[in-house]
Amino acid sequence: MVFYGSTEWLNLFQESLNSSKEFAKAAGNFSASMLVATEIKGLPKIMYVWLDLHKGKLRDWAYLATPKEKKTDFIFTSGYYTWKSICRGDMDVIKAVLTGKIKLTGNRLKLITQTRMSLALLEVMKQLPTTFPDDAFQRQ
Amino acid sequence: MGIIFDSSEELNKVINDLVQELLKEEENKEKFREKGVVVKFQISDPDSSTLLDPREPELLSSKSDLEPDINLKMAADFMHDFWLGRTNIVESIASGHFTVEIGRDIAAAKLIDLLPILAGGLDIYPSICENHGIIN
Repeated sequence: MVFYGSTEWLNLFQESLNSSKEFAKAAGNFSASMLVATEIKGLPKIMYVWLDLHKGKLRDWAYLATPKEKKTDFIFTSGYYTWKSICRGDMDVIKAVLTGKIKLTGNRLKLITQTRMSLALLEVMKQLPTTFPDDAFQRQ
Repeated sequence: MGIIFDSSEELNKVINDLVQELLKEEENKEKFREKGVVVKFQISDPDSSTLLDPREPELLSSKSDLEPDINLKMAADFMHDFWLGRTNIVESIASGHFTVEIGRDIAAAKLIDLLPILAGGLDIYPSICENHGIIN
């Protein structure tokens, strides 16, 4: 099992995504940089993970201290438990964006055409052997 | 003063053993080096301060002037429950039982990145308690 959001998890996600024919097909020539922002109540800063999607591949990823460190087309902001639900496949990401559970910053029109790509990406994420911090540290 | 540890000396010995055991394996040591984050465990009631420098992961320094990238602050009794797997880390941060300070230029996600190493402490801690005659 790998910890959600850790270097090991992101490397595995990258490797899995880049070997997914379904994702490559769904993404086609779509390229965009995305920032996944996770808010945890009580944590003094937001956790930012930057993803560089390029023509059906996840070309690069990085942890950012601030959102301005790298050029970003889209920012997805939500709380830890929402991301956990999405990663486990318990929540529909499109519905989460539409209902405001995930705040989206960026060109919505560009993204709205990429529903298949988003679903293929999440399908890969769902298959990862992920452990979540709140589960891993609570054993009793 | 909390109820689990009688003194800072006892707490220091427990933390020292925990960290030494955690980083005993070369693989873990190497992982910690790769994370590249200076971590401080700042415990209160009784007080203890431990700084881990990824450049010298075997070194435990309680009096270093080095500024931590991530400072983890908690009461000793809470720390005991934390390592025994009795707490929810996300809820504990929200409630203030587990306070995290993050350096200005440090990505907050580096905290998540440390967790795979720290999680190993939950397997080790009960036997350390036994060795020191601490109830668990």
